[in-house]
Amino acid sequence: MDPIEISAAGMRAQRARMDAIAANLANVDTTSARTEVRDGEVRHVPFRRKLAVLVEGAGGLPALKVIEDRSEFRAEHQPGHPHASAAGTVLFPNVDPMVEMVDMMAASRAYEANLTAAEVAKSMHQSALRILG
Amino acid sequence: MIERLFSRGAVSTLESMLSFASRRHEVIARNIANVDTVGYRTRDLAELRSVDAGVLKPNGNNVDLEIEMSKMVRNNALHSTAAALLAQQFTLLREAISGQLHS
Repeated sequence: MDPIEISAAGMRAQRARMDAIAANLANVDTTSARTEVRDGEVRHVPFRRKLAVLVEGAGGLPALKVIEDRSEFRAEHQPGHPHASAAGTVLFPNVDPMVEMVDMMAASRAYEANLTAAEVAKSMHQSALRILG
Repeated sequence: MIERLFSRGAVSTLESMLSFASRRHEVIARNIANVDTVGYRTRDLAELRSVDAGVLKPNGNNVDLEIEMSKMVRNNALHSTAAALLAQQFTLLREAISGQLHS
């Protein structure tokens, strides 16, 4: 396989991870992503954190799998909030901005590493062409 | 007759060096692309027999970015050395054919 192709797949995977992180950060306070009716009461379900997991796909290239983070929502007592339950509890997304920032740094560093690998592949092509004189 | 110029000695050795460096770059690029892939273990060419791996991360991945980058730089140096030497071989050949020195 062409090494530039491999590095491009790596960059694509990291950028998709970055997309998931950006969506999480954008929805850090989204208290009503959807509603559901339980016991005759309309309940607001907050945004659930998306986790971008890379798995090995065809040709040994990374493939993206987006899964939902099943950890608990953050509950706060705010009776005046429009999305509060009858008991006055508001559920907030299970997104921790600090965790997202760290993930973002890791993704950006890995993206750069793939970019460097693509540049090295390019310079190898060029030095091979110089053999022609 | 003329094939013997290319099939033996330095030219064929340098050609093997070049193809080795190209194949190794492909493996290293794949390791770097999979730096965050769950359960991926770092690989190398079969003929090298040993694999330089980092510590196992909690997601079952042992690709060490620093190790891979240094392997890539060394491999790139090997490739450009082989390419430069090969170019030199062809320059010598051209000089022998034309009977005059190239600058």
